[in-house]
Amino acid sequence: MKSRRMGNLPMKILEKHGRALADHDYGLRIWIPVDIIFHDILTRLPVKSLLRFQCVCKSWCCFLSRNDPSFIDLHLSRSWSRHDDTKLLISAHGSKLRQCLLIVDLEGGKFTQALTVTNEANLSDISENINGLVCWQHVGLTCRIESTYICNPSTREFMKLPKVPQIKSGGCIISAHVSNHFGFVPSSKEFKVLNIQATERDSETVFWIFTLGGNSWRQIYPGLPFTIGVGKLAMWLTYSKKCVCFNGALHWLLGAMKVIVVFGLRDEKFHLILLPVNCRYACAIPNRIVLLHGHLGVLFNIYDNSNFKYKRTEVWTLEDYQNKIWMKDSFTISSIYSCKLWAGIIWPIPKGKILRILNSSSEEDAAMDEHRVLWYDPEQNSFLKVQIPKLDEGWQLDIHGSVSYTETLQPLLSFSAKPPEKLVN
Amino acid sequence: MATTTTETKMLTLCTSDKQQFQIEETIALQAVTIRNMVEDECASNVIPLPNVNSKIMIQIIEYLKKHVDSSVSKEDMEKFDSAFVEKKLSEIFDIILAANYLNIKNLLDICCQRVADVMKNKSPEWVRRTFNIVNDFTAEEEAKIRKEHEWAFEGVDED
Repeated sequence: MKSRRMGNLPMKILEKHGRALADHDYGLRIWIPVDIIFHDILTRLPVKSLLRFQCVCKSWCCFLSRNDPSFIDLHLSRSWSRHDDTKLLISAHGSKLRQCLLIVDLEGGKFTQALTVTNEANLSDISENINGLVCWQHVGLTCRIESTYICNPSTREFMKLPKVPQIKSGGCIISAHVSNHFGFVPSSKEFKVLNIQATERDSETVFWIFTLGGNSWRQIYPGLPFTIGVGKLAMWLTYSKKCVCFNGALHWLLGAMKVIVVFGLRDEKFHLILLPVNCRYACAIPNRIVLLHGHLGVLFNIYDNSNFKYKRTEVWTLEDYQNKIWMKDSFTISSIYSCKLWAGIIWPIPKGKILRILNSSSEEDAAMDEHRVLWYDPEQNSFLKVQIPKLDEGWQLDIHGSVSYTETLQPLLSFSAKPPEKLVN
Repeated sequence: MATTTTETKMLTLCTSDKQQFQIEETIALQAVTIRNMVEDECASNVIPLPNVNSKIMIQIIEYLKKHVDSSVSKEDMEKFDSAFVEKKLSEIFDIILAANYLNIKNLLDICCQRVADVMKNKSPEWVRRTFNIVNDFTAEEEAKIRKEHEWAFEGVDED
């Protein structure tokens, strides 16, 4: 038999378990080559199953104890592209400062509690899902980021980063607007956190970078590409929660200026991307920056020029990121979900469908309370109501603190000298 | 092998149990191993496939015939694929071996996904039995590993 990819496997495993056998099904004895088991079958399993199967035997334990980056990468890319595997990460809070993160399986309607914490950190402020990891922080009363956490919800591990140094001017601490933004650089496989401490003036803004695996924050001097109004762009960046990491750069949509502000995580510099010329007119309102079909895109709500009624939603995607070539895709949302509803919070999920999480404050939403999560399929022009399972008494979902999610085996151990904290539910 | 004949070109495949299958070349060439044999002109009239028996070959031909048909919509193809893998695990293993040998990537993918779907809620004991793996841990070692991720053992199917 022609051997495929055998070279990737540790020789020890091959010697010990050249082949495996399946025999109790209906009496046939069939040998499955070990490279098929590891590379083609195990890479398609959920993280929970893989952690469970560590105790199958020593060679499986060795292979699944997450020392092999190529296995982790292959597993991540498979869970990213699987059609029936759409997940959402939602935070919830209970009494006595208890908070938890839930991994909700949208297709199966099941959820698993990833972790519970009892501290001041605000889980509803979680970052976008970066290769299966998320980041959140606790902002103290003095507008200072007291602590930053990196978490792998699939393995229930999290770690705390060192404290970010604070801006000082003449020995006094300046009151600042602070934020963290989490991203990944594919070329160097590095995870980085950008910390912005902005004051009333852009010139006083301080930027810090933390590379996962390093041991301290490093101040950088990227300089902002332009200023708006009285030079408060940096302040605006700290307010803008929705930051999309793509192609090794962080992207913020600055709708009012019809631009995307970009921070390259590799060169650690800012630049701008102009929105497509055709949608810079007044009745096209940039709504959200998204990742769709593997491209960076912007959703525009298009309104009628005369009566300002919602007409349709246009999605413009950057088909060619290097040369900044935009492409348009357009769809209209069916009428029962009016533009008022549509103007709410939406997340595109990897498969190209768009998820709408209702804001429970309005009347329409109250009527549909049990279907607070919807997803929209542009191809079928239809909404699918997603049943979010009921939580235990005393727990409440923070629907706004939710992001689409992909599982990963990525061990946090590789980023820190001491073992990551484990949580027992 | 470059020919310009308009009539349908046929290939004969000979399985391990010496059964011969005559199929259209376009169908057979989806298997990279067969394509390579034909391109290298190392195949005579009959292509021997000593690693595939006729029972499995019939199923593989059924799969290839469907997948060569460009008029089938993506949705229908997905329906066909999910119905195709509704088989006993031992049959799926047989098809995996054949798909691996014949180098039919899609078929290998859907079969491996099927195995993963069956496996995902199973116990380590089930996995050991299915893949005939000997547990080489001592009881203490195994207990220690189980304890590390106790939560991963919640909600496991009963054997």
